Amino acid sequence: MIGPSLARLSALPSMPRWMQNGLVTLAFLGLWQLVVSVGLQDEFWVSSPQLIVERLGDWQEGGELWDNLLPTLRVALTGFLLAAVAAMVVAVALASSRWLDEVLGWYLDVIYALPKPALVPMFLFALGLGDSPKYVLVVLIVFFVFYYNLRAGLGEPRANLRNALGILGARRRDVVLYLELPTLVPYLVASARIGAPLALVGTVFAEFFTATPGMGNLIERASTTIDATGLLAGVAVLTVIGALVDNMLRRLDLRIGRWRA
Amino acid sequence: MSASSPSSRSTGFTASVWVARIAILVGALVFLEQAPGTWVPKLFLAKPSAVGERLGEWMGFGDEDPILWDALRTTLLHAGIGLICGTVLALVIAFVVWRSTVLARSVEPLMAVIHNVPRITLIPLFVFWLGNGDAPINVYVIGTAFFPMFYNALQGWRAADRQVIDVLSIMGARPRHIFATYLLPQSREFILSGLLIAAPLTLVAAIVGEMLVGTGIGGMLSLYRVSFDADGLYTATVVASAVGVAINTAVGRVNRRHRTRMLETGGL
Amino acid sequence: MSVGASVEVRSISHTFPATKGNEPVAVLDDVSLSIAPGEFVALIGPSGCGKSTLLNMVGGLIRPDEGEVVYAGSAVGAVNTDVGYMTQRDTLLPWLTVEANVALPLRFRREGKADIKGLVTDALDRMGLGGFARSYPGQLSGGMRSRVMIARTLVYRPRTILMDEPLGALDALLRLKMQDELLEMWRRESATVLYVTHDIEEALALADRVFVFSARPARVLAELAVPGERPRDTRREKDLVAMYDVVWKTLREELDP
Repeated sequence: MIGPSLARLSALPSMPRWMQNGLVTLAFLGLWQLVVSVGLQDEFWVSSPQLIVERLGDWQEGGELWDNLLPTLRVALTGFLLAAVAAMVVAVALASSRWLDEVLGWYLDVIYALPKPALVPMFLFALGLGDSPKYVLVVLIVFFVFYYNLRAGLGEPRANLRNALGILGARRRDVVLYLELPTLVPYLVASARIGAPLALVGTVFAEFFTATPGMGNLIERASTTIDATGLLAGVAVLTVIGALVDNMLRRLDLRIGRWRA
Repeated sequence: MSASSPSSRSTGFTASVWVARIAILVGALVFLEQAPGTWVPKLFLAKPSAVGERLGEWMGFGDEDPILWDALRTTLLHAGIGLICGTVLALVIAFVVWRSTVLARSVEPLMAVIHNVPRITLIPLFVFWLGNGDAPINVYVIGTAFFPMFYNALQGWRAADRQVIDVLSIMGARPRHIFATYLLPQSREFILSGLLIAAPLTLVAAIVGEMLVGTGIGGMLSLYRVSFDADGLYTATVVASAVGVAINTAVGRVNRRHRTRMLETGGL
Repeated sequence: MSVGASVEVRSISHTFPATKGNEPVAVLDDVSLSIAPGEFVALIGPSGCGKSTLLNMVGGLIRPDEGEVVYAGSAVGAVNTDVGYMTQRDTLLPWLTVEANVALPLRFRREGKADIKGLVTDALDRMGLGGFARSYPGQLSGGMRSRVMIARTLVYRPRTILMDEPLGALDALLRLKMQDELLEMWRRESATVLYVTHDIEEALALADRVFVFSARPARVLAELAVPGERPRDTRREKDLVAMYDVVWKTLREELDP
């Protein structure tokens, strides 16, 4: 039984990545269901794919799914965009003033070093159990991802390209359009790819503690009611969303970076 | 990470920078000291003086229980043990995957899928399975340390020069010789960089786990929040922050000395 | 057809100021050259002796400490957009296609869209790059990237072309081929060419006159008019072989400090 399976494994690399992952996921889910159905493990403890799918169906009908998913996505996306814009403003400001860079940059480095999830109780305390602490956490996390990447991007001098463009007749506007902005784009895309999942996870984490609707809230409630199925259903939803977002960003990255050999 | 080139700056510049930094800090402290009670409801913020006092109590001054050291030790143990176990596990699995292409084809996609699952959401599940003690925290921290090290190791070994290995084999070296004389020294670089990436992550992971379970510094954060003890909460936050900054600074120093490049992973 | 401009370098001296950890570096010492319109002039000398700096000054990228560059009768002040500049290093914008790259100088000069399209296609065809207009520089070989840079340089008809070891990154065989192409291009354009190189044979094969520079700080050690119609056989024509020896002997002394 091992032989043929191993032989089939050797066919794996010819498949595209998503197919490999898909197969592995299916195999894992199949094994899981098998273990539970046969009785090796109790459904109470580990739930089962079947139960999870049923629960997701219930959520879909009862509205819990969208009532919780949409707020989470809204907070994550808004926080993400706010942080990105703020980071761009700050990075450009600090790049143009050495003095500002020294003073504020130092504080930013210190704030970056703080363990941000550990600050959540403080946010909850000072800002309440609504949406504000979620936004603060997400913005804090995503800001630094963009900030440090943009700093690196802005710091690339590219003197020889600048000179060449000058001789070709470029004016200030041309240099910004054809040189400075394009060099920033890969950094923006990389920041987005790293920051998007972090925004999502940060929101969910904050939602463990807040009172407003959200996936983290849903999962936390399932956990306090010893509802393994509910918990894993929530995890499943988040995993799928995370994978979709990552896929989207990866394709954006490829499309934009077509020129990279 | 601030811009360098000290020789081109005058002492006047440096002085004004430091004045500004200190001014901001002092301003913030003064504001915090004055604000509660006057501008801001008393519970919202804590006075630095109160924080200092509480910190003293926690350290054992004035005959109080020195709970600070216990909590610190718990948290650092969680982080440290998780880091080491996660690293060892990652190295072992990465090595096996590297050596056997068959296993690689099944394990790597598996890792990619597991990596996608948001680990934080699994902590309640771990607590459910493993009880309310150290176990769920350790599992979570190990998981956090595992992935950066796994990918680093795999990448590092795959980048090993096949030609060197072939030449060594021809010279008569056995696999364990090759490992000892070439692979291990070559691995030091990326093992170090993996540790440097994972270290701050494990600290954060330990605190996060503790927040949901109730021990260590994370536990203190939870406790004082739900009992509306502003001074306690802020003091605990200061402690957690201090540990975080200390680890990040240490990592930064080692980094600068060895010039490895770090991923901006955001700390979660 | 464009006619080349005259270039006069008058008593130029220049020192680079001290940077972190380094002393100030004197690179040019009272250098004077006079180049007639349409001339192909080679500048040869040891590495780092200031030849590139001199080109930068003709291009208006650096102001000399002392002396001046007179271009087509007027002193060079700001960046000189009447020259073409080709370097060894790749200065193509990697995120633009070949045709977008070649179109850049025309865009900067605010030419009309229809004209741009025509001129670009022309330039690409002349360099044998017709089929690669939509490719990205990263997809092309070194030789082809050189050709794209040449196309980009020629498309706006500069009266003078500055070349800083443009073939340095190419392998020997490709270099010989590209030398022919450069000559071909020069004949067509009638531009003035200032060509910096390390390769004595290359200098003798291509130039009307060769200026030999000393080591840093650079002074003009010798000025030689190269005889013979191009293409030249630098290995067998007696005059050229003798000239090679002269240049080599002069340079060898400069290389041993």
